[in-house]
Amino acid sequence: MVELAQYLASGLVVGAIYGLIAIGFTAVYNATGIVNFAQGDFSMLGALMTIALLAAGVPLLLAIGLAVLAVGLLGSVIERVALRPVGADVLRGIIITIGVGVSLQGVAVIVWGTDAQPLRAFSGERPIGLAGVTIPPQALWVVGTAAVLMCALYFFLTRTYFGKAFRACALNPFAASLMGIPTARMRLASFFLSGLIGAVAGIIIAPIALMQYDSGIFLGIKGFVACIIGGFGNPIGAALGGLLLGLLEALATGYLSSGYKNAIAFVVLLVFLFVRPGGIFGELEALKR
Amino acid sequence: MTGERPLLEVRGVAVRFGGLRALDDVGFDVHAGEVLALIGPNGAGKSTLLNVVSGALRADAGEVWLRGERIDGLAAHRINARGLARTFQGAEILRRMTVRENVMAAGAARTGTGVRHGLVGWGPARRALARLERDALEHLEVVGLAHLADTPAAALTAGQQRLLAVARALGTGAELLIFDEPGAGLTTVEKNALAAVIASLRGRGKTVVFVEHDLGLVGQLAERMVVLDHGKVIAVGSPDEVRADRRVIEAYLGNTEIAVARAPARAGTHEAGLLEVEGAAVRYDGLIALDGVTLRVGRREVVALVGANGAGKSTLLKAVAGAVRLAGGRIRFVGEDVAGLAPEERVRLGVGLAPEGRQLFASLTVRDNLAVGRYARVRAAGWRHLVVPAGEQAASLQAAMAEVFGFFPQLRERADQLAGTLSGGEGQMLAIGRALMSRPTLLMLDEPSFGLAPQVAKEILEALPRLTELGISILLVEQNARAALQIAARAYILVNGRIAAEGASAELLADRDIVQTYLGWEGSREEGRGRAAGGPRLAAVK
Amino acid sequence: MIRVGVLALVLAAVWLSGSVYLMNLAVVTALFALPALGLSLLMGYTGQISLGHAALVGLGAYGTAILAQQFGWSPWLTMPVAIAAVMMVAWLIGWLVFRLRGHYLAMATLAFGIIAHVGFVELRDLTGGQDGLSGIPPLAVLGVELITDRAILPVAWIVCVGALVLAENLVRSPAGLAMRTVAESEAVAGSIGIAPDALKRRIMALSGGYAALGGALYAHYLGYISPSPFDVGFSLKLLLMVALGGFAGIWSVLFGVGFVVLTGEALKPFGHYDVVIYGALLVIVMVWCPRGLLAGLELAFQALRRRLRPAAGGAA
Repeated sequence: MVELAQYLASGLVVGAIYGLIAIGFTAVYNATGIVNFAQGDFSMLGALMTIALLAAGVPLLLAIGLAVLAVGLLGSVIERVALRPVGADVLRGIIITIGVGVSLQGVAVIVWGTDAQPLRAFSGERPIGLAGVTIPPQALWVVGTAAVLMCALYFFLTRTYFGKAFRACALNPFAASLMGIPTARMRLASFFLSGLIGAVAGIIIAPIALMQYDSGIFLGIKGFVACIIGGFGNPIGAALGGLLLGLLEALATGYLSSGYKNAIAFVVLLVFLFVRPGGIFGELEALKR
Repeated sequence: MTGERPLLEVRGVAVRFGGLRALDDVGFDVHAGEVLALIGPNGAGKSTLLNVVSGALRADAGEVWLRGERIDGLAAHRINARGLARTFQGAEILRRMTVRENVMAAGAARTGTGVRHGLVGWGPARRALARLERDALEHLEVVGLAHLADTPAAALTAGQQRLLAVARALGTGAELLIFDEPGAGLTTVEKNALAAVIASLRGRGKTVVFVEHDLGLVGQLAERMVVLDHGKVIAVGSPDEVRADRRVIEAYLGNTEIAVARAPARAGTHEAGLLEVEGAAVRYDGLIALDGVTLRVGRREVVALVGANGAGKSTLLKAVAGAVRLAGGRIRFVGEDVAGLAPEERVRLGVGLAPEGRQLFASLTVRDNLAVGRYARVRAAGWRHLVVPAGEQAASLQAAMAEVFGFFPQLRERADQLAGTLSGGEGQMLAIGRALMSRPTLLMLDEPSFGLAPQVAKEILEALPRLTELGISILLVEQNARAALQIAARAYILVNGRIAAEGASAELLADRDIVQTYLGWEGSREEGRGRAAGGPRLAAVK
Repeated sequence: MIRVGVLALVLAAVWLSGSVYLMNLAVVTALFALPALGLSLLMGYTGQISLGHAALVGLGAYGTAILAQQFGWSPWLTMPVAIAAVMMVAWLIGWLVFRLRGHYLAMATLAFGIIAHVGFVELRDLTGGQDGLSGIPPLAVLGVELITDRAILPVAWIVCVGALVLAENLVRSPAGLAMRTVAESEAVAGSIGIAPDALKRRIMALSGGYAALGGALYAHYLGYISPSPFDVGFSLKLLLMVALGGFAGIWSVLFGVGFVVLTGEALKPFGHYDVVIYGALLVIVMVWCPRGLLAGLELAFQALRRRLRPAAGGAA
């Protein structure tokens, strides 16, 4: 029984990460209709950049801030340079984001090599006992940060004027442009946001998960699966989808073998693609007229 | 017309999209060898019907019989194999192939050779290919494109593309040819060429059904017509019968009686207008949407722009709002040329548009929809206000919202409801309210009564003249011409991208010929002959 | 015909040169060209996307290896059987996956690719796990075992050219017209009597067959296979080869393959720069040369000439 609780706990932690990455996907998808196959690599870069800055003597908080900002800007640059020329062509957009992801991985290898990079946990290594379950303190950081970030995002989208305009733009770019909302700049903003979120996700999981140049691939795929489970238009659904996936993976790792861990995500993906492409919660923002 | 069974029989076809009945108990026949036109105002269900017959859409009820065999529910390619071919709105030619290959592809499915034969190369596949080439050339000669056989299809003009689509339909060997708006956006010359081709098809033993908005073209070609309105068949008969049918006229023009005092049309065109459009021309992909339109809207005026579907009314509003670019002509707002100004800048000048189909932000609340409507002004006041509008900006936002709620009290009650859950009428009010939030001096409305129950449409239209008391001019685009002419001081009638008539609406309403002009029955044959009441007829500008 | 002639000359030169390095490159090019061709037929001509083609190559390789080892059959028997099996698998995948569109389709094919890869690694009893399978019997022609690069070069290229010719025949046939129609618009295809779903599945099966052939030859050539060459990275490399050649181009696929193989060699001393280059190339080609590198360069060249010509006109 304790075993089960342990699996559930670790599943929740990983699930929180998948949820964050999934939200990054939805931010871009809602605003542009593109699925950014390089989303996971934003997480990888955020983590590796933070590690490099720390090694250069930059204090932790500043390193995190700089890395997150840098990846956000990178996201905007990618939108402007690589994606805007393509417009609505889905096939080319997909391949371009794949190419971007591959390039980012290549850069990561050149700069940091192929070894996994360790990041010291934020508040020490001693495991905490909680209701009979032991978790590393970093896990609390993960869940806590994810929760705070999601709340901040929710606040931004529903309580700020800009956030409402952002959603409007995603819902109906034509009508939004009639109100004077600059749709092109909103696209840039959405990529900035997804870069930001992705970087944070990568940084907070790095002490537990050991990031390296190709960590982005699987993170991205799992985040995508979370979106499929929760529905692409729906950030809340994406977050919940991430949690669900994390739990399933933890259970599979515990009761089967860890080699099958990655396959779980894909089996779930295929099941959902064929049975319920709209996800559990469907498309929240699909109430189109 | 003999005792034999019709080629195509449609019985009791019904289609629902959610709560909307797109087609309701539609039934008619098509006789072998005839040319039948399927007409009706915007939203009548013509495309839906076409999709059901061709197998692109499954009906919820009803049957379709082709040569005595049931075809409803079959996949599109199977229906095609049984002798029914269709074209698409906008032709949908295969751009990566040559003209000849487009037509050859149409016969590919019938050669009896598949992937295996294709891999081998010599033998059946090669013979089949040679046959396809010969046949393709023949079909291209029928439509007059044989000399362009090896040009890339993407290089064709719009008119040529439509002809290629006809050749492609011929290439399938089908007996029943269905054309979907083949003439939309074509020049007069192109339309005449198309009409000649369609007329010649009869002589080749084909049966033609076509959907069309250009009633002039329809009048030239059709032997019989079926008229749809709101998903129902309202008239079937010869062109003369249909033209005289009161129900058809009402369907196109509307029959709403509005009880509102109308401001008299202002005499003289000397005072500077709020909006001045001169010779505006717009092209989409080579198709003509607007062809030299000149109109003006004065201060505190309600002006109506009416015309049948496809006339270009929406395009004109979008051009004024800055959503589409002019290919020629000029637009001036408050004396200033707006060319090159982005939509947000025009909003700041005072232009507002409530677009066609409402285009609400469905998962934002009513309040948020309204708030966002003021984006251009909030943004202009500074970055800080984008987080939360403060001080003067907040006050103006609240004031504007209060004004909208005052105008449409129903919205106040639903302020925190999601816009997607509003009823049709409430949604339209919200769309108008949203456009009012930026305090425009010119409010443009694109088909506000579309999809609304007559009573609701009446209420909304009746509310509009009150806006002039707030200092706002209104440019109203409406398919329900009768209603629009009752609330507007002046009106313009747009037909096929050109102004066919203009003047004081009282006079236009009284003119009996207005129906003919509005519907454009006279059409492309009578170039230069217009029926105008109280206003000059504009010559076409190319 | 000229192209075959030129190719034959180049290959003859390589063969006669006696350079093991060059011959190895040539063999690798031929073996990569087969799955790339298959992918080109699927993506370029039928308009679908597959990010998991490496799995089909791997299935072909493992299939023939396992059959040869378990039953002791000659490779000339195990290869066709394995290829046929993979074609059926590909057809099934197509049946499952082609109802999806756009990024869903891309993800589903990626998923299948990774699942297969995980299978190669985890099903140790069958596949030997990470260690792979060794001792795969080589191909034998007239009693002569083809073990060296020199020996296998002609066979590999005869197969490759044969595959090219077949593919080109297909593209030029009525079925090829049907494929190109489906690639541009399934709605139009339906309206002219073409059944898009059945055609997509058939081409997927064919594409799988090509991939499996490449994998099977690879297995008997190398004598040893492991899961690592059949991963996502290889699928993306195939994608790049096809993109460089222009999605719709049979002989230009060879250009794409050759380009990737040669740049891979050129960049080897620089370690992992090749990955960055590949990614960047993919982006550049997709943004500026959607019809392939050659076509893009040609367009750029023409644009340049046009800009220079007014100057020339003035001078003349």
